[in-house]
Amino acid sequence: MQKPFQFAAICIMACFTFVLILYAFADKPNDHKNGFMRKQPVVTAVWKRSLDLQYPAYYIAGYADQHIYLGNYSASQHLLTVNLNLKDTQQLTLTMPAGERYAWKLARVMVDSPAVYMTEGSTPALYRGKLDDLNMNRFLPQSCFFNMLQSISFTSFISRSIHIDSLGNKQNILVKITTDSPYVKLGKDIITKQVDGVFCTDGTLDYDRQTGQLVYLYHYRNEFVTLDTNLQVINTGHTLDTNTIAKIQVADMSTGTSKFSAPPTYVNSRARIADNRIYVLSSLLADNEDGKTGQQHEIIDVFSLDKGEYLHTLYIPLKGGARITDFIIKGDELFALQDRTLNVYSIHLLQ
Amino acid sequence: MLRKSVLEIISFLFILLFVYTAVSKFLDHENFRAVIGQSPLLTRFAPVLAIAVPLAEIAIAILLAVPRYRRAGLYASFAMMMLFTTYIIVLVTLSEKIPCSCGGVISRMTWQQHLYFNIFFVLLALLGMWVHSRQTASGQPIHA
Repeated sequence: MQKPFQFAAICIMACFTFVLILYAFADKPNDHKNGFMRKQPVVTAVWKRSLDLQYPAYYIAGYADQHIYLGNYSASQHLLTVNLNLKDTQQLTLTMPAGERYAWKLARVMVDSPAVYMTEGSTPALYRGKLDDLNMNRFLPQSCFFNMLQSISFTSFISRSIHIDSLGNKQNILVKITTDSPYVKLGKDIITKQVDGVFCTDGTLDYDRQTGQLVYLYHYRNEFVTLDTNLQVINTGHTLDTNTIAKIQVADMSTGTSKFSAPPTYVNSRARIADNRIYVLSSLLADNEDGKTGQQHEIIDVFSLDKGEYLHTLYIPLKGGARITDFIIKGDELFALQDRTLNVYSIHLLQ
Repeated sequence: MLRKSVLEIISFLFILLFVYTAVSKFLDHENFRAVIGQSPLLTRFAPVLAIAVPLAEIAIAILLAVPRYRRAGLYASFAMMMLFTTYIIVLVTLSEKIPCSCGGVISRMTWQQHLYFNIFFVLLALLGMWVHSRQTASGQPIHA
């Protein structure tokens, strides 16, 4: 006598038991003690207001005195602008020159008021326009390939590009791109290789107009580098955790590309400079924090810009389940992008 | 007669599915191995699984193709699809940012589509098992 349904029921139970056992024994981030402490008491930000963006996939394209500009990964020509009170939302569309071809999925809008740029580093293609009319025109055709771009003035940019040496080794480096000859200046030895050169050096870049300084924060190690607009390193600072060497495994494919071959240990997700401080959005819990804190808050460690000294920690209470993907700080307010929402928090700055 | 054709169609669909995904896993082996390595649940077993999973899929396809072993093949198909499905359910509900490594066009599906696709095949296998049991219970020869 065959009993398919009995078999099915037993099989379902066995599968769930098996997969749940696998899950129970899997390494999860923050499962173990990370071996560092955060200063107490922490400052907890206070939620003030929020704006429903209606669509996912927004990123912060830039900000001016009174406005924030959001670009969208899935609509390359779309630009959303909103004032600091989250009122007067405007949907804008960039006008591209006819017949232009670029990889729109990779294109990013960058606002540096009164200019707006459309940047795409694998063609590479750069377009510039004015925020007033949004008519974009081809710009700086002498630029190099890049995978990250930051405007530092109306005639210069800092990019992160992949440099290939004579042996064929690839590595991320920072590059200064200017509108005048020689157009491209390589900043070697700012970003340092630890494992494969590309994944291990991944991170985020931010520029502070006030001081003319940039910060590059690594995703997989406890380090950030501050530099000036001529690619001179000012200081190397360390975030709180103990990951001095990136814990990642990378497999090289025969096609020439590389892939992670194990879950990477993600340490820091975003750094922003404001008022002589570096705000680092951290992914790791300290030993004097519990898992619940990490689930309900986003943790930002604050460092001094000049010396890279740890000052204090900010907790950002999360609204809903989504994590913060990007943020900026304007005065004593923090603007955080979380899935389809832009949330504003008040952060009381410690002196 | 109807039962027989239903069984033939179900077996054929599973053979197609398993051979297709197994071959694409073998062809793109280094990629498949890296991607399952990224899964927190499987990373420790990635080198073994990268061989074992496509081999198991081929084995099930052979079972389904040989009439004598079709019953075993249907049960194994059900177990295999159920294992994949529970893996997806557990990952999507308990974990974040999980890469897919199912082979070929199937890996371009979203998690939601993937889940529906899998559940369809789980139900298909269940139907096959049931029809097969009815066939033998009612005393008809399985294959003329």
